[in-house]
Amino acid sequence: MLEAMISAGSRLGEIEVILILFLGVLIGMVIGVLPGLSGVVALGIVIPFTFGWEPIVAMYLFIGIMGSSMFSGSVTAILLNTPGTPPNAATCFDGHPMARQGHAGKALGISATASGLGAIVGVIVLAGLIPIMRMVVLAFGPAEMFWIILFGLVAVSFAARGNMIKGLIAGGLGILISLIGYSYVHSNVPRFTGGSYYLWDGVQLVPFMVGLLAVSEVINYTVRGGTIAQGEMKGKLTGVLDGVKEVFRHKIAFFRSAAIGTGIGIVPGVGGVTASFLSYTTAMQTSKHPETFGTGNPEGVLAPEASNNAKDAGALIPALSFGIPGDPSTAMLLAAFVLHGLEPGPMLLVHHLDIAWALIFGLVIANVITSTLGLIVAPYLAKLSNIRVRYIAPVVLVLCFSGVFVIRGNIWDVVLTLIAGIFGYGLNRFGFPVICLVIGYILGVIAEISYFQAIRSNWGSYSIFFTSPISQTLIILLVIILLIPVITKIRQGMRSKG
Amino acid sequence: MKLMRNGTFWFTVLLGVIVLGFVLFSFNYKAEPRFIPLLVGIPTLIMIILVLLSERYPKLISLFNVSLGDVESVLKRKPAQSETDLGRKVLAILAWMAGFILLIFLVGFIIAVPIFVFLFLKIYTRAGWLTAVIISLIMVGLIYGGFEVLMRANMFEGLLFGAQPSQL
Repeated sequence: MLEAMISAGSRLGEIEVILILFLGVLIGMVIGVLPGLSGVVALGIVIPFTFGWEPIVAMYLFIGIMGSSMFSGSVTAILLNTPGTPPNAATCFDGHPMARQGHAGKALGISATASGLGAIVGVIVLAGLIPIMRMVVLAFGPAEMFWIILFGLVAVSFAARGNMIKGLIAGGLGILISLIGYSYVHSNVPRFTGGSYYLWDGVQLVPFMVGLLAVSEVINYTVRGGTIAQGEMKGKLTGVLDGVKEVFRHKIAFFRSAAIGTGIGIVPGVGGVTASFLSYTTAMQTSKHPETFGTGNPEGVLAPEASNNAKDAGALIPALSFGIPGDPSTAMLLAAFVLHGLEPGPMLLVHHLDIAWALIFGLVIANVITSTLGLIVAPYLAKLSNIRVRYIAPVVLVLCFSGVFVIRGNIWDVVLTLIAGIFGYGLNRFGFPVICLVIGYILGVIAEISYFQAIRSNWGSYSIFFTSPISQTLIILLVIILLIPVITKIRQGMRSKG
Repeated sequence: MKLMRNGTFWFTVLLGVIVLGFVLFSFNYKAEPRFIPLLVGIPTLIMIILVLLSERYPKLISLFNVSLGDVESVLKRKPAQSETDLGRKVLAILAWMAGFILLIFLVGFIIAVPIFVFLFLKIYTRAGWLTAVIISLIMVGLIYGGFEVLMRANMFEGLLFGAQPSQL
């Protein structure tokens, strides 16, 4: 444990690694400030460039991006009333009124401090949980692994906004896609390849994920168009220090929001939008002056910002311990793991603990750099948001398509990226949560391997799936999650009749 | 609204066809290799049928509508575009992307990238000549410098220049 921590931490003494982390922060800040584009697109672009890098060094680049994109989204939310990323939308409600009243600097000070400290709270929780997570994953056998994957999939279908059935369909489809290619558990039987050599190795992870998550996002925003920041920057950036002090003045609101963010992050699929809005409404409901929310109340900036940055660390908990991504950025990070020869799943914390610590240290430093640098460059970042997304679209598409080709030198990977992009756009547009498909796709094969390992180790008997306390707990939780929407609807019906 | 419903309907039909394909192909394999595909495929197919039926009988799946807080409605959204307009724009961007890939197949990355970026910026985005030329040159520089020189990757050279695509 200590060895892994030292191994990851010592790399931060190297100038090359610090520069890479800093580069990640810069990329994340720039992409995060562009309305419509988020950290997931940035990750999609840079992942192929890191092919051949030492995994731990690449992780510092990825976490730099993930840690910084959220704050810069708040800069445009405050200065221009245009959220850089969807979770920053809640920041507009009070951040922009503050800027219009001439307190832009103070609002940015609050945002930077709450973001940085919020992330640190999340990271402390994550670091504290790592020894426990290691013990938990070691208690997981193949049967428990099968159930946790099923649980993750159902939990995400429940948590992703919309219809649970559609989430489950997407998850099922993800599992089926993951089964394409050679099946190593069944003596190298090629399945669903349709006679294509290309599909023998399965649907390639990086092209599929880049298409599904990044290209689909570009299609979406190019089609919607006009996502240009319409606002104008009001007020000078003074009073930053007042903003910093404001966070310490509202300690309870800050810790409550950070706790909400971390908790929401742990639940796969819920995401930053829910975290920031839930924190915002909680702050409003518990405030002595709820009527001041929406008119420039500092707590209205503090709450969503602390929450959506704390969420990143929370999302790493299921991702690192079970390979279950909490949100699209974490899903893309898991794709990067595979590219760098790291298998997502419980063994990651056992065999590559240094990677987990690199992500933790990187997230702290990325947030410190972002908060400090963000305040200095905020006005320039805000100007960047005036770039039309349509100008950016061809640039992102070229980088995505070229990048996926470089990994294996196979031109069909480019075609796969395009197909996945179109498919991802369709899923998004018609209400099928993409994150469910991603989880099914990442964990499908692991679920199948776990299933047959469990059966074979128990001489063909199914009892192994029901005997351990962990399996029993997971089954109960699964049933509860499946029943919650039905029970809620029945209760609502009874109440309306009553 | 009706068109939108049709969109959902047809997309769900597409998903149904894909899943049905998986289920039918599964029967070509022995008991073990087909077990998980069938275990997942059949319930998925049933749920797809439910979604399709819900287009006619919405109550069928409304029981499973879940939300952890009505945050979507709070998000400021741009006024919705007409479905026809949106469909036209989707087709346009898809045509651009397909055209780009076709160009890569024919002439390779180094030539296709500046042509695509320039034409996209000039025709689709209606950018100025100078902007289009500068961004195109930057992009080709980035691809050549970043991938070919720094990463020593051999970018696809295009069928017209003798490149052979990998086996499909």
